[in-house]
Amino acid sequence: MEPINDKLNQQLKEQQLLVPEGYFEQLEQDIFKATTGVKQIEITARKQPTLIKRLIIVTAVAASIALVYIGVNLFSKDKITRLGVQFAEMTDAEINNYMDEQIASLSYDDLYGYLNTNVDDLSTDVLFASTYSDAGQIDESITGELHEQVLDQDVMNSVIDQSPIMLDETIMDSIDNELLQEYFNDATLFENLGL
Amino acid sequence: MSDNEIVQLCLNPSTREQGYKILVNVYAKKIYWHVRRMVTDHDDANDVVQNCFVKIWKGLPDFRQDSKLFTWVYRIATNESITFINEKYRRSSITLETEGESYTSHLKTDPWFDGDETKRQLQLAIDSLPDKQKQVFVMRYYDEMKYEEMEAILGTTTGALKASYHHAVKKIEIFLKERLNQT
Repeated sequence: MEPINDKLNQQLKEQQLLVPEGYFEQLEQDIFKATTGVKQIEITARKQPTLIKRLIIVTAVAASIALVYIGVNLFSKDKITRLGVQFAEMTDAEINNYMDEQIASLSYDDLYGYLNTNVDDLSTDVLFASTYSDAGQIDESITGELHEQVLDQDVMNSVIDQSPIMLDETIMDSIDNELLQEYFNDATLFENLGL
Repeated sequence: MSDNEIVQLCLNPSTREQGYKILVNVYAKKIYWHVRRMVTDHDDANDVVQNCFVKIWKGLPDFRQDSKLFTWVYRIATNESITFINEKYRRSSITLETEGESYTSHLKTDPWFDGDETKRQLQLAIDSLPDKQKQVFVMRYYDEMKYEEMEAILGTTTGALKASYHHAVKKIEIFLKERLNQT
């Protein structure tokens, strides 16, 4: 026993836990009572299956393995994964060449069909509808900028009120101020707008 | 009768009951004290011991003698004790650290605990140890087991057992110094 604090050693060794008198005789009886009728877990050796049963089992296992293999090849190894592996092994130049070849191999009909089915989200109506909640009105931020730099407020208001044209905020922001000024100074603009 | 002879009796279905009675006679008291030092309360220990022997009875036909009978029986008792302690504290949502005072007052009224304030604090110190350290401390100090035997029961290396025992003793010393200096 390793040496420990003397006081602790002395204290610990003294028995402080008690049991009722005659407890251990009773405990044995209680244990026998508790185990009476309790079923034991007996693991018996399994019976060997007959030859036919074994053949069936082997065949079934082989068929299962074959099905799993086919399934894995059909569904798990999809083309995207294989393409990803190929790209990972290619240099940038090889990837560029590959992309050029793929694009060149597309026919006009393929491209037309693709655009017809995939560019709905980019149509003008949808873009404008998502920018303006009220058709026929120009965003206030644009009018404010125009007021300072280009047009008289009255003229601008009349344009806003009557214009059937909706202007995209992002497009307006990207236009140079001088070009904008030139555009609004053009006399044909108001004629086109029916003013 | 040796453990080997008891096992032979237990493995034979015709002499199993006889072997089991001898096993209970040899081990009931030892297992009770082992469990009692783990769970402290007499009634709890009584329940845990009975559960242990029911498990031993159930598993006897499948006892493969990979380990000694002594090791197997103690392993069941140790695991049952730990399961019981964890279940008890999980049910009551408290830990010994948080219930310290109420636990010592419980010991004051426990008719099966004989000790003054120092002994109560000592029992609290033992009970506040982490499960593993408590197991090792009880087995090494009270049961005076060899580390090799403990290794077989707990499935831990001798080095780790020695470390756990050392930590347990240190914690008990610190605990007692703090508590006894306060009073």
